[in-house]
Amino acid sequence: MTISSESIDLHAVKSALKKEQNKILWRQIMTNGSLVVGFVIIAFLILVALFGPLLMKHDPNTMDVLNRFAAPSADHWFGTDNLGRDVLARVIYGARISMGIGVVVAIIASMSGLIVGIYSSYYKWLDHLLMRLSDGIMAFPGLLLALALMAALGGQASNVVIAVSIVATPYIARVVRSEALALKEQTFVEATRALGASDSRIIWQHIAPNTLSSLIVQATFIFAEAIIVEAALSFLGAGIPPPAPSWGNILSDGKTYIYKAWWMTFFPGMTITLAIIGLNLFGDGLRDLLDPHVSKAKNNE
Amino acid sequence: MPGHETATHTLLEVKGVKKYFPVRGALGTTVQEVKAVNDVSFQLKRGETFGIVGESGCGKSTLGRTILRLTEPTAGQAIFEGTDVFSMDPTALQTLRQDMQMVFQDPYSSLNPKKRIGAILEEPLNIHNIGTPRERTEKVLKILNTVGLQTDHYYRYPHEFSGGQRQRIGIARALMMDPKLIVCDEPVSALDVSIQSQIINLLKKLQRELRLTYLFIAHDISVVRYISDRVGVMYLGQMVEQAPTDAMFANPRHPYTRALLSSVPEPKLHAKRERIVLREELPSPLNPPSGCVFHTRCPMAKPECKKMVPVNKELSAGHFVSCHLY
Amino acid sequence: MNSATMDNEPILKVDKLKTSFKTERGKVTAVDGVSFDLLKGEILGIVGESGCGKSATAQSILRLYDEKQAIHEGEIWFEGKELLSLRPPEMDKVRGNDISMIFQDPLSSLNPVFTIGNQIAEAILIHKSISKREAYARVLELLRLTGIPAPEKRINEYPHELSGGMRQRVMIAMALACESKIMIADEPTTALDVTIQAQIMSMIVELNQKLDMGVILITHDLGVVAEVCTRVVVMYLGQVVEEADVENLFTRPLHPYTQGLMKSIPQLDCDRSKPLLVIEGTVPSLHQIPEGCRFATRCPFADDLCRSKMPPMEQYAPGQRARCWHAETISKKGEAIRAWT
Repeated sequence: MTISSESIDLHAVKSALKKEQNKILWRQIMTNGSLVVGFVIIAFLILVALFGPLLMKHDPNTMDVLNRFAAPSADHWFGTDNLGRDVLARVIYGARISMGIGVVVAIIASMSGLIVGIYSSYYKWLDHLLMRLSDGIMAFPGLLLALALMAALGGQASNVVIAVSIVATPYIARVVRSEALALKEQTFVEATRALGASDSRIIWQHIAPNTLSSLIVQATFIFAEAIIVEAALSFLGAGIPPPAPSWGNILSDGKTYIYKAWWMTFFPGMTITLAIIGLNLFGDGLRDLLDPHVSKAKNNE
Repeated sequence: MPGHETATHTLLEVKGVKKYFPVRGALGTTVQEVKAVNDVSFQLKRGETFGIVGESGCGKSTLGRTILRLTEPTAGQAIFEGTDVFSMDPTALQTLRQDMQMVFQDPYSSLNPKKRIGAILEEPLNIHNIGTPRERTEKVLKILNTVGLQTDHYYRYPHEFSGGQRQRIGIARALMMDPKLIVCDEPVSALDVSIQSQIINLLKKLQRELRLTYLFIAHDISVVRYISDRVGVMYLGQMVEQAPTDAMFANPRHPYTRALLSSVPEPKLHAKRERIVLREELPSPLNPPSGCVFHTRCPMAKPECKKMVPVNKELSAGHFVSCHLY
Repeated sequence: MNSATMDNEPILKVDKLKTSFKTERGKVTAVDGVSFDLLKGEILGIVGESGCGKSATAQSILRLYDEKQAIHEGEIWFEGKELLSLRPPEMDKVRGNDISMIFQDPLSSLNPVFTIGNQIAEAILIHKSISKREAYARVLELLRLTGIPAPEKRINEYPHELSGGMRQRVMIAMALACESKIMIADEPTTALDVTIQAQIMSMIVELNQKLDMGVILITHDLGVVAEVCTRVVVMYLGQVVEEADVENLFTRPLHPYTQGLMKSIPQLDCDRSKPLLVIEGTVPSLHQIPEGCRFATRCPFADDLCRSKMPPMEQYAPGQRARCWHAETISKKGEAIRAWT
């Protein structure tokens, strides 16, 4: 049993096994309807957000005063708004803003929620402190709290991100905390302590990775929520300052002219709806994919 | 000859160990205590297997965990090779972990589902910085073989294995740091009967080959008898009797031991023997009976059993009993 | 114990029972052509390990599975009725009434928010239209019958206030509530301490004799089987592999699996210096059932015939059947010892 022969064997074994494991994973993904449909929708929207501006002929801010309130036509697929701006162009740029904010919020809330959740589950005194803080935050309706924070911080894109992240963090923290609490009681955690592992090793190498599946699912829902909250904030005038075409701002512009120019609210509204549906489907599909992983395995016995 | 000497050398001496769990009242004060382990003493010699049997609530699992300091003891000492585990500082305890390991009961939750077997097994070596990465992998492969698994299992995940195989992995993990003592906490209880014998044989083989010492905790009396050199019987946090295996089973002295042994259903015909039925129910460990902890159910209880705690006496070589009958 | 088999009519006849489930990985047949009879007054043991289908068989008899997920084939005859073809309301009348069942974990089998008196009374009132007072009187009677001390006090207690052994007695009381003709006990003592197990098992035997109630005892513990059962059915991977009187099963087990099981269990008087006998390998998954004899992958006597053709259940001795091509030759002592040790 020489060293070299073992390592050669291992590499071959490793790649063969990884191939096998990936094949199984791929099959699980492909048979998951929600996941696939959700993913397609989100991927489509992301692609549009990233590359749409290159393909469009109109600029979101160019005002064509003569062509105000134009109904959807071949030239303006989504019509024009009260200042003659192309609604389609605005919606596409808005995707960048709104979805961009959604992603950043999801990421920030995930990281802070993970830290808060995990440490709360592990140290009792921290638990009391952090959970009461979270309860306080969650006691406010999310939108109102975000509104209040925006009033305090000032209307800027970065503040929208901060405000919505603060509102979203407790939800992720709770999910992570309850997973972590259950995991803490699992035998493998005790076994790792018996090996001499330190608290931080157990927390970050054993408990945290096992909370990731729930975390990611929650994060997709936070992404969706963030889009809605941003839209609501902007709609109320407390979000991204106009003329930036965030979806909320477009809706806000359109609200006075609903009867005159329905396309000003319809199209951005439908886009938001599409994004939310896509994200929710993706999140549901992801949950189905990731959670029964362990219970299915048990059933194999 | 070195082997001969280590056979009689005491590896672990457990003295007066107590573990009480506080029950907190509304204001966070301790209202009651669950006396899970209540003054247990015994000795474990190098190379032998000490089996601990008892029914639910007797504290045997808690005893195992307390000895390894997976839970902090309330009182007592656990002297491992001359040093008291209970009074060690964290750094010394950390090093000690290499010598004292545990095999757990539930094969399904004792392995991190998200980690590959290789990673799970290398972890103890990583934690204690033993060897180079290549040496660690080498060792893992070697131990995988020792426990009857294959090299390509290195990259698999726990869920791809059966209960028996997972238990082998658990045993492999305990062996990674070449421990001297392994506490086996119900290692075969969760396995199918036809797999149990595989694991039991493996444990025995490993003991011979690696000169291991086992503290074997289980509720299955036949299994404990088979694998142990000495057996201790626990009831409600106390060790009521301990003796070399053959002596214990040939001549159980404590009334509880007798009742316990008489209840074991034997897979053979016409094995009907006088079944000793215990009256009353198991008392709560929140409020153990006064005097002899068994007196409420003992068919031979005398008035003094309620008043005085029996002294642990050695009746014959290595055969200790705590009972007023003697 | 029972030799008058002539007037011993089967009270339950399971004929080629098949239960399959639709899973994501295809159809899984947990019970594959299982047949056995339960004779009047006997305690029949069904022994096997996880995945053998013993619990699935029991649940199929009472049709406890959601029939959108589980497909049953075969026939189950009880009192002239074929249970699998009864309409749901008719089957409801059988469950808990004519045939009752007790489960492994009494804590999760009892509803935590109702008193035990309430739950036992419910078992009665579902099937019998008597007054509440009469039902409660019967509850006290049942509690006494199952050896629960101070029944008047216990009747108002909640499941969590009782010990494991007591809870199991309550389960048994519920099972007896309607004077069932058959009680199916699914691993009733596995979750209990050995001293309590002994009490519960002796109570079941007593009830079987006193009330002339047939018992189907499902267990993995051969010790319990030896003490309590009159006849035994051994299952492996969804099939019956041996069926015998308890005497014959322990003196002359025919099927290699039965032999292996018996020899691999450490007994209280076994030689501690000899290694335990081991049945090599593991039980195959129900998703990947091997060709031919299902035990061939682990059997020391297996040959090409075993691996290609499934052996049928054959009678090799009075009252003893086995599913093995080589049962005849193996049963000659010499063969058995040589291969297994």
